[in-house]
Amino acid sequence: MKFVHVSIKGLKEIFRDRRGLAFILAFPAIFMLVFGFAFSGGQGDNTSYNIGVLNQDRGTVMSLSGEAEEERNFGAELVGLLEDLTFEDSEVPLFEVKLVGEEEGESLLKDRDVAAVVSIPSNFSHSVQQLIKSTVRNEVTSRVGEMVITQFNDVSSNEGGNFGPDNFSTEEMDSLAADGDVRSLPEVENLTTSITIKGDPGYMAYGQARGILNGVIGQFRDEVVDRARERTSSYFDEEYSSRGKFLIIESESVSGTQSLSSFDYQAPGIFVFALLMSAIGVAGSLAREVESGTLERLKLSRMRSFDLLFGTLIPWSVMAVVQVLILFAVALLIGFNWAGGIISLILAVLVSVIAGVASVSLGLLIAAFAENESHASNLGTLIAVPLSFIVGAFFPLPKIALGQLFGSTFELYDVLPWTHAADALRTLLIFGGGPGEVVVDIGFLVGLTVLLFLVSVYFFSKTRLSTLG
Amino acid sequence: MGSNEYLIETEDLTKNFGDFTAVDSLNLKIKENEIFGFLGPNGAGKTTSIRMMVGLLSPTEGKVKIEGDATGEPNERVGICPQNLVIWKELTSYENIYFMGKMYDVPSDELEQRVESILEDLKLTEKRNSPASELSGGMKRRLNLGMSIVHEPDLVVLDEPTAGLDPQSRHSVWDYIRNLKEEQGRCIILTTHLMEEADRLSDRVAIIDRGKLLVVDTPEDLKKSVGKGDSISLELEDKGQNQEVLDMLRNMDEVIEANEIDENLVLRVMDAVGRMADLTEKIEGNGFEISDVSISRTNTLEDVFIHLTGRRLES
Repeated sequence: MKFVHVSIKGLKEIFRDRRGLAFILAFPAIFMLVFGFAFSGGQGDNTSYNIGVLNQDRGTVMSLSGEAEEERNFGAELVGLLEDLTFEDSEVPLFEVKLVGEEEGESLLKDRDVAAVVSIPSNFSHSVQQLIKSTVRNEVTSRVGEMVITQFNDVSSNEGGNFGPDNFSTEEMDSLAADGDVRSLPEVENLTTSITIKGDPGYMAYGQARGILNGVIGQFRDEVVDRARERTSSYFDEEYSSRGKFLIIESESVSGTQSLSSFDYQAPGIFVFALLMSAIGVAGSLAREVESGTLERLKLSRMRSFDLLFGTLIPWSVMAVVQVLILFAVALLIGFNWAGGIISLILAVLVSVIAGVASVSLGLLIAAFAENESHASNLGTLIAVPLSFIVGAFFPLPKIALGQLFGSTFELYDVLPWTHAADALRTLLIFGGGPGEVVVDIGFLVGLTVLLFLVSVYFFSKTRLSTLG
Repeated sequence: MGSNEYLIETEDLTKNFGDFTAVDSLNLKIKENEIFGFLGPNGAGKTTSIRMMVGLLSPTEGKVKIEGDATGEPNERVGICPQNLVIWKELTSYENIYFMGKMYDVPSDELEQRVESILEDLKLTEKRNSPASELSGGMKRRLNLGMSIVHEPDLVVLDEPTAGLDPQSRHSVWDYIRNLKEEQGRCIILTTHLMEEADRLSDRVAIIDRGKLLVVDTPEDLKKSVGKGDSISLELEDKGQNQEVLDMLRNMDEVIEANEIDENLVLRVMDAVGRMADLTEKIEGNGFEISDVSISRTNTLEDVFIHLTGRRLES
């Protein structure tokens, strides 16, 4: 447990070194302010996004519970919705939609005439229909279940108790169902479909448009389920003649789109870049132990490399947490908008903290090869700055696939934890993704961070704690 | 403590850095409960020898034994006080010593007592809660020493422990070193280039120069080995005539030994005071002008070093 004492010592040193502490705390704030103002232009003037839509939807014929058959094309309705959406607190349309064919879409994307192309598959309406049926079925089943329980309680109290479900006859169950006006439950096919949003990840407008489109399509799906549920409920209380369509699509302004700027798009990369820079401070701190001779003193006590490095990792990770909080606080103060909800923001903080720990581990590794503080600082800058570009903090690099892993392509840069941090932060903050969409990236981030720390322990042990000739 | 007569031994200990031999076949046997002085000029190979002995540096050849067992790694029975100030500046005096105790796994309750005791012995109690960065040079050096002995090692290696100290602080450290041996029964290896320090503290002294061990003995026997007589130092007005005068002096019967050291002529003669007038008359009679003369009537370890190497120790 020597690492505990090394950690306590490290925390005391960090907090008592006022000048160093001021730098550690001021760095993320200044960094975010500078980058925030540098990238604050861009899409903030509510300019519509040009998007192409490839609508291949063949439509469907809907008839539920004896209604008259009706032709619906949910793909076309989704296109209409996209055309009608406006920026928040504005009359400006969010999207300029152009209906395109496959080749035309590709060509427009290549020329960056559109930010993205949304492909609606041929079975889209059919899938939506199945979603409605599934929701109706679940809703009706649940309603009938409730009625059965109510009836059961009534019978039970009249008979003076000692009644269980077995006491209901098939006739009584049918009667309950008839009371609920459920004549036949819709059959549901097991069908899934997906809308593809295609675009160039290196094009900032694509990232912004994709984030909004993700949100809109998600809302569309939720709306289908809510409306179906709502209308089914009304069957139990209203006259048949008053029943309306199962899905009415309305447009409204999209929350969070009022000031989407270049800064909002670049912020995840800025977070990763700032955290990578913290590796320099960590490397300098450990190099100081080497330079001042205190490491030799520790070496004489036969302290293990793990104790020293884990003991150093803890206080610097605490500082990484503080730096992440400052980064986010300053970003929010200067008007950072993110696509997801508060959960996305909390997850983004968590991802940043893990990325911060990865940077601390990188600092430990750099210290294994640095002769003194100045060397550590130079070496740290030489490694951290290019690394921020390699991990795609600011723009994606050409893809170099290594193979398939967990169903997705594993790129060369994916061996670095910060690549996953940058991807996860973009998914959460730009594309409005939820926990399920970043779980793989977080898994890789944690795993690679642990691996990087173990590599640091190995090299530090070899270069700094072994008896050298 | 084991049954071996020697606590630490070196056998043909050699260290080469490229073509340069820093330590050349060093053979030492250091007993329990003795202060062993390791005397030599700067760059003689003292620190390199010490670093190999405590396991911080691998020897090119030879080996180190602690109580008869060969060792090549840092040993918890050894405590080293390095020549440079190796302290954590942001920690207080108490915290620096306490932290090192924890690194040596000293139990907390025992450690607290030890730290207080060390602070008191080294006259640092008043600065117990002061950050090390705010201590004076002498206090820092005492703290440096305290951090080396908190785990109560059998062998304490002190590398130039009083370098840069004022006389008062120096005497305070000397008292503490004596206390380590006499009260606590520890074996101490003391490297120094200060002949007075080695002379006053050491039970035995090894003189090392250019990586080679020249001699090992008690300070008294070493001084006796130089022989009887007094030391006279002459400075000529024209330094270019030094060699000529040196040749003349070496041919005089009353001069036992004569060397040129730092542009001065150092001679050993019997009854220097009585022969001084005669000597200066002969030198000046041959046309050489003397600008300064000094006489030393007792031998020092410096004289031993001059006798062995023809050079001054503290040059």
